[in-house]
Amino acid sequence: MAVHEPAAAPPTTGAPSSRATWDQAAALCRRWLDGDDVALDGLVRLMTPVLWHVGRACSLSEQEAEDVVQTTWAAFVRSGDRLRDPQAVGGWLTTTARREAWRVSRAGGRASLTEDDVLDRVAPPQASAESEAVAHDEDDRLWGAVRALDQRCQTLLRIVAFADRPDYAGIAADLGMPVGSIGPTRMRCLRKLRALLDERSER
Amino acid sequence: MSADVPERDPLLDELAAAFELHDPAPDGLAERALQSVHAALEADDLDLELELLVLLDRSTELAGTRAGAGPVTLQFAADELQLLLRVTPVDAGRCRVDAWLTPEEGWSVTAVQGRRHTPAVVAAPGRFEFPDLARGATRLVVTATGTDVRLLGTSPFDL
Repeated sequence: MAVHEPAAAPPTTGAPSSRATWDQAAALCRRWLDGDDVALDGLVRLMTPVLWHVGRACSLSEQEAEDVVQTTWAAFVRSGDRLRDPQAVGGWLTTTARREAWRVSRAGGRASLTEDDVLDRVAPPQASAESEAVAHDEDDRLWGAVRALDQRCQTLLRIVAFADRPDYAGIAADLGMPVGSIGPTRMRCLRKLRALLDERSER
Repeated sequence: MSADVPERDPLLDELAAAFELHDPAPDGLAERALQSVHAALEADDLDLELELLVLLDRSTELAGTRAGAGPVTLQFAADELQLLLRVTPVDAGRCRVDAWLTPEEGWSVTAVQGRRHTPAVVAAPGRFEFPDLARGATRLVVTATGTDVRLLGTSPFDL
């Protein structure tokens, strides 16, 4: 089967975490279930970056994260047509990716929440053009603050940032944390991030 | 569970944008995923190469009514298996389907419309119902109960 023309790519704007993205994923899934094969191409293009971030959040290498993306889509092809509610497709995909990412992470013997290895694998901030210096300063300030967070906070915030409605029970089970502690941990991590941002803006 | 989920903090959107900027998905990842998806779908299509239940007869029950207005019966068969369908319009876009299978025991039936799979409700031994199906191209797949092995499928027909 030929790969369809780029016209099938969804016209997304903004970060792939926005509510519009999730609604668009649901609409594409619905069209696919109704027999529109091109809609599946749109869904894959739309959600692949989100699945990438889920894998990377779990301390996976680039190759491992790519494998998680592929495994997630293979699972979707096998059982996505049994989705009762197309509106839930975003949650289904990210949950499947998260579980697979944790499985790979554990199989690799990584205690992913205590090691800081993911930071070394993340690409360094790119050099900014003079004319974009101010915007990049803001980006760099945020990125620097993110990198200063402990691994647990980075993992949790990255997963939550790319989720529409975070599946706290599932995340808690994966992280080996009590369900009730996820919300407070998330708030503590965001507070820490804000404090780091404030520190940096005062410099 | 979602009732106690707090409102989304706007900082999370900035975070998502930062991760997008500094650690984006590699070029071509979506296209590579698409190639795998298409390969998997082709394999899935082969899986649907099942023994055909052939349409023997299609008739409108109420002679003289305009097409699509009254119940329609369709009869399929393969070897010893007989499948009778009665399609009753619900409205312009939906219909109800009652199905009778002989021999009676040991089957489950699923309607396949595009990529949408709708399992039938078992009404009695050998009798299945789809209370609300979309009209359009449809196949019914008949599986031995308790397994995922697709055994037989009707040729595509229009509801």
